[in-house]
Amino acid sequence: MIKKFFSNTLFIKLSIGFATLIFLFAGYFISKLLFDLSVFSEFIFNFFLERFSYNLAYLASSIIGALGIISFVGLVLLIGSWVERRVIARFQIRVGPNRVGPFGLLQPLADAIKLMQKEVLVPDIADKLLFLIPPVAIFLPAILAWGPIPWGPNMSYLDINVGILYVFAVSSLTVPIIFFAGWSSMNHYALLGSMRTVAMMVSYEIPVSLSLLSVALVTGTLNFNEIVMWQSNNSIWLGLFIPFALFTFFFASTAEINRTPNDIAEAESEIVAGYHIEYSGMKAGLFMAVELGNAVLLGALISSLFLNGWFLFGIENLVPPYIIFITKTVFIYLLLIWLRATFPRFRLDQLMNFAWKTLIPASIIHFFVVAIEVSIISNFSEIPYLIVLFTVINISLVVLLAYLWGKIFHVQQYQPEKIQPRFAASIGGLEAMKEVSSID
Amino acid sequence: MIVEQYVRVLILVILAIAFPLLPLAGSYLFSKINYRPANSNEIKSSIYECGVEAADITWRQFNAKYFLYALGFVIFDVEVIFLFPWAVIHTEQAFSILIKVAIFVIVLAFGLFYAWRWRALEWQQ
Amino acid sequence: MIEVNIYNAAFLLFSMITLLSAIGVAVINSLMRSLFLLIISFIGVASLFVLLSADFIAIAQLLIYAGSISILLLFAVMLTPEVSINNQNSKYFLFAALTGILFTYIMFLFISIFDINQLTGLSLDKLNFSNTIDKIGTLLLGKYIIAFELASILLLFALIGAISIVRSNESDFNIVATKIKGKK
Repeated sequence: MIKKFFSNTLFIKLSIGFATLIFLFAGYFISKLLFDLSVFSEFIFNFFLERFSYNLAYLASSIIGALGIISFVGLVLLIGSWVERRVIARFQIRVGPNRVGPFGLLQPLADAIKLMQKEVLVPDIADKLLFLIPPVAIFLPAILAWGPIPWGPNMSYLDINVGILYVFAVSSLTVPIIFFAGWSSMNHYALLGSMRTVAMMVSYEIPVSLSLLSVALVTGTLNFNEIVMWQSNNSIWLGLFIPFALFTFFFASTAEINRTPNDIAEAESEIVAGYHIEYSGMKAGLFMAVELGNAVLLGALISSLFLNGWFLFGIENLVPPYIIFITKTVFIYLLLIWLRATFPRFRLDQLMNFAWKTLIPASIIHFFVVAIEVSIISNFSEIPYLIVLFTVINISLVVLLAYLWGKIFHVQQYQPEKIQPRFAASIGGLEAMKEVSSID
Repeated sequence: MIVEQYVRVLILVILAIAFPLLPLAGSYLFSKINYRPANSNEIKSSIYECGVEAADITWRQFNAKYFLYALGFVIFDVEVIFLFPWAVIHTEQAFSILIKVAIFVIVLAFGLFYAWRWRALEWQQ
Repeated sequence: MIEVNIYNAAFLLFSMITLLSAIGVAVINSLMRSLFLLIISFIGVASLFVLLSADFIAIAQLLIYAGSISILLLFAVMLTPEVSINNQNSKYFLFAALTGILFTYIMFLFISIFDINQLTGLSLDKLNFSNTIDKIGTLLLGKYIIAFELASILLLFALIGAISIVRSNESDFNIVATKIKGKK
């Protein structure tokens, strides 16, 4: 009787529910305890201030903050590759890595150890000095750009007045590093790949900067904290107020960080692996790690600039704000993975034409429109709901433009009754998907 | 204090250089305890060319079109850096300042239009 | 005399980075390596601007020189493939050295006018000068509006010049010209 009870599925479900409840309660109390992580650096600051000088206290609290950022990036690099492989596997009706550790969670660690054991090859005719610098130097922009990100109230590492420009300037340093990586390899494919990549990244930096310009126009500041506060004060997300800037920033940034619709850098069917073809072992691994870190950085930038950062309809008073911020970041990262699983790669000439003939002229016109709207709002501040009105106008304009753009290029409407996964159904693909989702 | 914040940038620079050096140091240690192969030979250290030997010198002359794109990038970058101070003070100002900026941008937009008209923006002709 | 404080120590460090890499640019034979050192030199100049509390100028230096002008120079070097491998010694070495010495002398004359201890971020902090970008914007669109508009014309001329370099052959030019005429 007792044995029968324990083997009952109801018992298992009850125990799982009970464990979830305990987990939630524990999570709630821990999150109450760690509601504001800045208390750590403040504690260190006061500890040193009482015993030593102000400068040393400032230095110590800064080092704590920097270590926090570095450890978050390291954690992201470890977990992110697992997330990406698992999610893409589900898109392709596979299981993904599930052998090393529970749910394959230790797979990235195993990969890192494998890469460390691999032989490091340096081509004989390469420029040895310049060949060794890029895999290390490419981490500089990727980590420095995390500086002014606001994790929560009173929780940004750098509180500088030129925050947006700082991120933009620091991340533009990636371009020469990529060029040096390709050039010093002394390989035809690598040089060709780096030239192509640099030409494309350079073209897409202009739309990025113009979309950041419209963010600065609306908020009147370049400080990340003040941008987030502006959005909560006016109770509107910038992504809704200027949706075209969000689209431009998102699309052009995928070109900047070499993610899938625009990953010209590693067009493996054309130029083998692009600029990092000659790098082997851990050095190649570092290039891949930077790509992943940049994807998460893009998520963080979008969620703080366009998605109101750590605010979420009052939930920020219940849950630690940094948890909300990281959730939004992960959401954008999952969107990037979805894009990677869905879209084929654009051709280089298509991308260059799109940048110079569509995105740049459209962005120039767009920031003028935004400037006029902002002047109207600031000059007629006695009229209520002017922001809401312009939000509706902007969104409908973007929808209209997308519709017209599709008309010009004869994009066909999606017709679900005509497009059926007949091939996948005939070989049992859909059943296989159901089975795959039951594993693990 | 403006400079105080940038001390933090310096700390982050040092840590950002140290961070990728850690796995590289691990890789180096593996070679020290003879756990990682480190016997390079002539074929291994030649450049990768899909199985055939590299035919020509790599550093050849590239198309001047790349230079044009780079110059266009520099020009628009300078434009944007001029426009950011305007963007910050714009909300406090009236429409008159918008006209000044409009002249600035229209002159540059004419340059873009000129390049477009003379087919300088075509990647392949 | 120069005081011993943390500002001057940092100034010494960053100016040494800037100057040593700038000397390396002139001395090293490989053009790509000297370009790499040039980028480091630009970053050193940007950090010197930070020491002067001019954060916007520092970011502009980083963005325009280290991020854009360097790309322009890289692509310019890729137009001259032989030179990039082994850069021969210039025959104008003497003139270059003389010009350099003269320029350094003039710069020293200028610097000796000022008190170096006044030229740090500390003196700006005493004035409660917290945000530079607002003041730059007000001045650029107010007092210096002519320079602001002339800058755009300068940039336009640079773009048109580059287009006329790239327009590879005359026949291509003619095809477009006839097309435009035909439309009219």
